[in-house]
Amino acid sequence: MLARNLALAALALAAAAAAQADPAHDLLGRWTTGFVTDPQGAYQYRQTFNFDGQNCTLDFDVLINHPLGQGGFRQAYQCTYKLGGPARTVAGAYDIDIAFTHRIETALHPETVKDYNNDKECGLDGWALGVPRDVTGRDCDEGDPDLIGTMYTVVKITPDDKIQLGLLPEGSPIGTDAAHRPTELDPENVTPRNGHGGTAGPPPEDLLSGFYAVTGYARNATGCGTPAAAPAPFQAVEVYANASVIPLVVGWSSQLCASVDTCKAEANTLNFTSDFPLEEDDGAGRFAGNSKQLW
Amino acid sequence: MKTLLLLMLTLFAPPRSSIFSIGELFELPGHQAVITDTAFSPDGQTVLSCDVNGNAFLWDAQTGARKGALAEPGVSFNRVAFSRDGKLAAVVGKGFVGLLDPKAGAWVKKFPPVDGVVFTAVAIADDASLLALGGSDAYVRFLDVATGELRDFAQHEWPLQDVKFLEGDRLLLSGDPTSVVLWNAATGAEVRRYVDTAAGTLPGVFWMTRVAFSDDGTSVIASSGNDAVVFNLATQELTQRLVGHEDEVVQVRLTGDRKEAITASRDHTTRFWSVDSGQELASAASLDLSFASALSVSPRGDRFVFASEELDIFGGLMRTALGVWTIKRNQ
Repeated sequence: MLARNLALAALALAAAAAAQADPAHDLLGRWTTGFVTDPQGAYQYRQTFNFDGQNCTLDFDVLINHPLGQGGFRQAYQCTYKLGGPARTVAGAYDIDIAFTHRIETALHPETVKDYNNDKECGLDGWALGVPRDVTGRDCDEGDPDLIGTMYTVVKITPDDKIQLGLLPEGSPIGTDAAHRPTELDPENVTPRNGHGGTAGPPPEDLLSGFYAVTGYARNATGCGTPAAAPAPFQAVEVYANASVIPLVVGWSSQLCASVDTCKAEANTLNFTSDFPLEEDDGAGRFAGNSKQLW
Repeated sequence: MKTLLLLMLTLFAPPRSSIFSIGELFELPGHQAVITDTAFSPDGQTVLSCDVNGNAFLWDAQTGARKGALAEPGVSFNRVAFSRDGKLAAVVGKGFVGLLDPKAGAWVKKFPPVDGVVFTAVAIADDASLLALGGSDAYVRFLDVATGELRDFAQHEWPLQDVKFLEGDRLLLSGDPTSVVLWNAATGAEVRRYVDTAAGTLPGVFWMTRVAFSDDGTSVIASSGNDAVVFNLATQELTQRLVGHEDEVVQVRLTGDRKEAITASRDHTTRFWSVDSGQELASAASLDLSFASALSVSPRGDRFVFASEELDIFGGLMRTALGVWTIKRNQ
C-alpha cells in the first residue's frame, strides 16, 4: 500500500514537473490584462491573447468615456503560432513565431462609427455600430506597424503567471525574421492569465499625460503629433488622451495648408486662438508649450 | 365612403401634441460640472443627482428646492441609486462607494477607496445589507455594507451599464453593451442569458450604447445608434424598436409601467414614446447642448429629470442644465 502511494506520489510529482517544463501547455488559454483604466478614469483599454495550441487571437479593446469625446473600438487579430525551443537571446523565454493572418476591426461607439465613415477608415465606408469588418491587408493605421505577417519573437511565462513578449523596437529589423529575435522582453507588454485590470501607471515623462488640448501647426506632420515627411504644414487642434496610448483628435486636424503663413492665418481665425496662441511643433510633432491639461 | 371616413377620422382626431406634451417645469441649478446621473426616490418626492466633481445634490422633486448637498472632493461621481424603501441611496464613482441618508442629506457610510475601478452601475439590496456594483473593468462586485468586504461576483465581457436586484435579492440582473444576464445572487451561477447581441438576440443590434432596466426588472431598454429597442425579458422578445431620432440616442428610460419610454439624442431632442405602438407621442427640443448626460423618470411616469451640458472645444464646461420635466397627458 505504502509502495503504491509512493508510486502515485512520484507519478504526480513527475507529471507536475513535466507540466512545468512544457511551455506549449503552459501557454494554452486566455491571457488578458482586463480593462485598465487611465488615471483620470476617462478611458479603458484591454489586451487579450488566446492560444489554443495552433491558432491564436489578439484583441485590443479601447473604450473612451470623456465629456470631450467618446468612442470605442476593437482591433482583433487572428493568427497561427509555432512555439520553439528555449530562446537563445532571452533567458527563460521561448522562441515563438506568430503569423498574423487576419485583422478584424469593430467600431464600438456611434462617435467612432461616424469617425470611421467620415475618414473612410481602412479605405472603407459603411461602418456600423458593433459590426466587425475584415480589414486584412488594408492600410488602417498610418505610422503603426503592420501586424499582418509573421512576428519572430520570444515569449516568457513569468512565475506569477503572466506572459511577456519580446521588445520590438519600431523601425528595427528585430522580429522580422528568425535570425533577429528580440534580445530583451518588452516591459510594457505583460499580460496576466486572467487580469483584473487596474489603473494605468504614470506615462513616460516625455509624453503628455492626461487629457491635453493642443493647438498649433506642424511643419512636418501627418496627424496625431506623429512626425513624418509631409510636404506641407497643417493646422492642428488635437486632444491627447495620454499620448502614448490613444491620440484623440477633435476639431480641426490634418487640414493641409498651402504654406506656413496660410496655415497660421487660417488657424488664427478660430475663436480659441486667443486663449491658445499658435506655436510650432517641437520638431517631433509635439506642442508642449501651448497645451492645456483638461483634467 | 371608406376614404371619407378616414378623412373625417383624420380631421377630428386630436393632434398628437394635444394628447401628450413634454416640457421643462423648472431647473435645478447648482451643479458646476458634468452631471453624470440622476434618480427619483421611490415615492417620487426626491431627486438625487451627481457630477464628475464629486458633488451630489438632493432636490425636492415638486418644488425644485435643494434639500441637501454632499461633496467628496477629488472624486468623480458616476451613478446614483435609491434603495427600494427610499431610506438609503448609493453614490458610486471612480473608486468610490458611499451610502447616504436622503432624508438627513448626510453620508451614512463611505467605503474605503477601490483603486483602478470606475463604478458604472449600482443597486442596493432590499434588506440594504449588500450593494451590487458594476465596474468599468467588466466585473460585478458585491459590497457587504456591514463589513465593507468587497468581492467579485460575476464577470461580463464589457463594462457594466446597469445592475438590479430581483425577487427579494435572490436574483441579480446585469447588463453590458452586448449582453443582459440573470444571476443567482447567492451562488453566482448564471441563470439565464437574456440578451447576447453576438447571437442575434436583438436583430440588427450589435452593440448597446446605453442599457437601462425597467423598475420591475422585466424589461430592458437600450440605445443602439439612432434607435432604441425595448426587450421583454419575461417573453424574451423584442417588444419595440423606437425609430425617429436623427442622431445618436444617448439616454433611454422606461416609465414604471413600461408602457412608455423617454429617449434623449444628440439630435437635440428628447422624445416620449409609446412602447406598445412604437409611436412617438411627444418631443421637445433640448437646448443646443453638446450631449445629454443623465435621465431618470419618476415612478408615476409623470415627470423626468434631464441633464445636459454644453462644452467648448477643449472640454471646458460652458453650461450645464439640470431640470425637472413634466409629461402631460391631456385626455
